[in-house]
Amino acid sequence: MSRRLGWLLLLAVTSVASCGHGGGGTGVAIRDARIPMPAGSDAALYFTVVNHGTADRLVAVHTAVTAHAQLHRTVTDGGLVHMEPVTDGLVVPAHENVVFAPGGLHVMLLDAKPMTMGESVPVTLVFDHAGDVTVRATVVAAADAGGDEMSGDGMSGMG
Amino acid sequence: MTALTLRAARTRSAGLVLGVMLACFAVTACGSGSGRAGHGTSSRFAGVALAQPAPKPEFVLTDTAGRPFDFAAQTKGDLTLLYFGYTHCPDICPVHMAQIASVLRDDPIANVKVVFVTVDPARDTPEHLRGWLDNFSHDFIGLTGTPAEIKAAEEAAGVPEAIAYDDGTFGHAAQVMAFAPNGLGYTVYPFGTRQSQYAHDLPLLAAMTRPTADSGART
Repeated sequence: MSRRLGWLLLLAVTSVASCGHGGGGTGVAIRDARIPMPAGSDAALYFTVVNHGTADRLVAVHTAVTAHAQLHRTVTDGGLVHMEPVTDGLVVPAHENVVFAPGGLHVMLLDAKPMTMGESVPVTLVFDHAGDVTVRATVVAAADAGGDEMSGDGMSGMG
Repeated sequence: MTALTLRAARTRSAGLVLGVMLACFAVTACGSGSGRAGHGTSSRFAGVALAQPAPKPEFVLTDTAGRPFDFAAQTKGDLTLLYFGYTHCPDICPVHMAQIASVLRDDPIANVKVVFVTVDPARDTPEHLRGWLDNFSHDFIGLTGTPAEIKAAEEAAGVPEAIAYDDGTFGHAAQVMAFAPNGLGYTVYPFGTRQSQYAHDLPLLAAMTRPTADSGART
């Protein structure tokens, strides 16, 4: 292999890596996509949107396990928690992360097909600018769903 | 808040109501999005300590076998965890239940009862409730009742009455309430509680078998 070809390969690898896995080439990447093992027919999908680029907007989520995937936010009001649909999509500010985590933002998967622990579920997130970003969400133990990103507002800056 | 305060005055568990409200304020005061228990409290518990120990609420509902369940009487002498939720809740309820189940699997407690009261009796039939809870533990107790009975249980426990929304979701109290075997509640676990916080507190609470004025606060 010539040295020039080696450099070209390295550049190619680097440019792909900079998009992140599942990135659509505009700087939006999805991290830690996971579905807590559902106890019933309704499930929740969590992930972190990492945006290295300009502002974008998550407008829809598609997955084969359900035809009804909705962006939701859990909010607390007067000592009660409830879920609100996120309408008109969710803005992902430039150079920020948006965290979907228990107690905050989540994608509700209504009437989802049965899943098994450890299963890898393909999920397509549709962004205004980045377009379709397909990732695989792992079905994890519900007790571990929170991780370190359990959050009430689902937003954390990259600084 | 006025309505809540009025209701608190009407119930026998006014102390618990105020304690839970204070705990909610304490969590809220931690700043947006922290959602984590234990912040801002000076307590030997990892959960949110009530300002004053609260008596165990009294109510009777129906268990998943269709039998009457007298909450205070049938959990007497047990560490008791009480939660109001619904099985179609995908975000918060299963995480609480799964965390508690996991902690009790890792560090079993002989005298513990975990009680899940549905706020969605129309869809959460006893059979459905049993099937859902069995995903976490066959030992978890599921309770249901008429809307009026469930409302009475919420009032007794000092949590706001759940609200049904048109899309099939509910607004409901998010915290797990813990009562020591001595019959007093010392802590609540708002959503955002970590497994490690349950693991820290449950053995402590399970050992509190005698009445005590100890609120858990450090002096």
